[in-house]
Amino acid sequence: MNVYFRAVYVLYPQPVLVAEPGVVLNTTTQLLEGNSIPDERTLRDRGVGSIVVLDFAGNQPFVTRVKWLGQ
Amino acid sequence: MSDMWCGLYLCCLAVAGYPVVAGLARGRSRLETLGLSACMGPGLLAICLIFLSMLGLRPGRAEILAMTATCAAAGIFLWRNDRREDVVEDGGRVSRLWAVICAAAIAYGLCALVIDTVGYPVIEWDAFAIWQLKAQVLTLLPLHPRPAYFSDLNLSYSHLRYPLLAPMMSAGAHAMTGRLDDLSKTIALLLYPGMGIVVFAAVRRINGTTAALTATALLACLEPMLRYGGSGTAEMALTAFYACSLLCILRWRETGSWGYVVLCALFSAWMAWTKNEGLALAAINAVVLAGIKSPGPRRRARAAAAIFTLIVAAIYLPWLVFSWGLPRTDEDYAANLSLHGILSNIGRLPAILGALGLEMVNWQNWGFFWLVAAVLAIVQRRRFASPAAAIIGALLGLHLLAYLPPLMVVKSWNLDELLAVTSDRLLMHAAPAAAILIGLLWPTWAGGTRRTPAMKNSRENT
Repeated sequence: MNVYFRAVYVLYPQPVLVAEPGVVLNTTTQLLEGNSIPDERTLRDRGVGSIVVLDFAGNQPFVTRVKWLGQ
Repeated sequence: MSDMWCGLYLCCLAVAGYPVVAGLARGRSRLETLGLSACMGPGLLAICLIFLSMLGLRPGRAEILAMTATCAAAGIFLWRNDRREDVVEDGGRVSRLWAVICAAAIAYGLCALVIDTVGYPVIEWDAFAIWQLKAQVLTLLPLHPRPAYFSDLNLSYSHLRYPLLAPMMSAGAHAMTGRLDDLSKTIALLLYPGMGIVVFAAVRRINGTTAALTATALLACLEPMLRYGGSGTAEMALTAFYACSLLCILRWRETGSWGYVVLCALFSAWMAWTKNEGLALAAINAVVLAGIKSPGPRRRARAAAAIFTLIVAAIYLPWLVFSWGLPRTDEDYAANLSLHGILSNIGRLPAILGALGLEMVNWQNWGFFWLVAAVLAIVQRRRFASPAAAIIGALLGLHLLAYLPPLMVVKSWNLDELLAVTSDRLLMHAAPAAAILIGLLWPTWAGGTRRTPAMKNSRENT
């Protein structure tokens, strides 16, 4: 949950898209229940230009996939 | 480049406070001028930026520099026409060894705060989830028309109805640097030293330099002060404004100068605009002002309390208007505060008192701080015959009492969890009053003087 709140702060004014529009996230329970990966259309509608998927090897992040959404 | 703009912003804040302090505080010492100005500037400039934002202007370099230039012009005028009232105080002899120990403690506190403020990003939960998030909102959007943030239930964890003074101080830094970065925490570099100087000055005038150094050193290196001071939360601002209001109350009692009532009201208004707790502390200040016998007729005390209340109410009113109709969620703790709410949760009181008591003797957080205050209050109880000690003792007692009801009525948190995350910062707010009390009660055999003019005055007025 802390990661989510910190992400909201770091990315502001861009929204953190971890749930469907209209889902209210204020607590850990709400996040666990409402958490979903937005589909490409939602991302496009919110002005997201590309998707970068990261994974971790130990503490080191690495990029596994990049997809251009065409914006 | 950001660092340069941020440094300039801090200079602007320091300059902005001087004319208000110089114009209102008669018979002040240089240290009092320094400490009060360092805390007045951030509050004054931020409240002006809030009012401009309510008119549709978001904070910008031009506005900040223009306000600073105006204040600087007023400051130069006052400086030239100053009747040189700066008081040179005889603080008594100080043991060199004790002075070095206290200076080392203060230097440690200052270094720790500087490192935390400029060396670390915003990592404290309350800072990134509440205060610095609000600062970003205020930087990007004016308060008129009201930004969507204030009705966005997805962000209600950031307490939509919390007052905006501390975020606007940080927003000013964002506006000056032109970036939403972590330099917004640097306001603490003014508030923390300002608070320390104010506590030192308040004690030295009454009980000498040794007592003042001791009280300041004890306060400066308290762990919660260093944990929250440079973290980007509103705790440092509230604590510093509160320390300044205490000094003004003491000086009002001593001098009877109305300027100190106005200054106290301004600092109390900043407190109310900083956190809801500040509103309670402002109310306590009003009650204590009404009971103080300052030089002159008795009705002056009631008049002082009335003037104080009017000023605080006038400055706070725009927030009441703005926040009217904002969504009330579980996070709106103040809404639960009612007599019925308090009485129906009276069973929580023993647990709260126990937790606060345990926190006071929590060695890691407070060392001997609260124990020293308690022991001195018992051993030196005769000193409460002096009005200054009686006033600070009453303020501290009322302050701690005022914090009990909110803890009783907050239902959205498990009580143990709530106490674990709030008791240190609640006691931090009261720490300046406790530090001044320690200084005023510091015994003569350990270096307290009780011989300065202020003390003679206080005996005459008893």
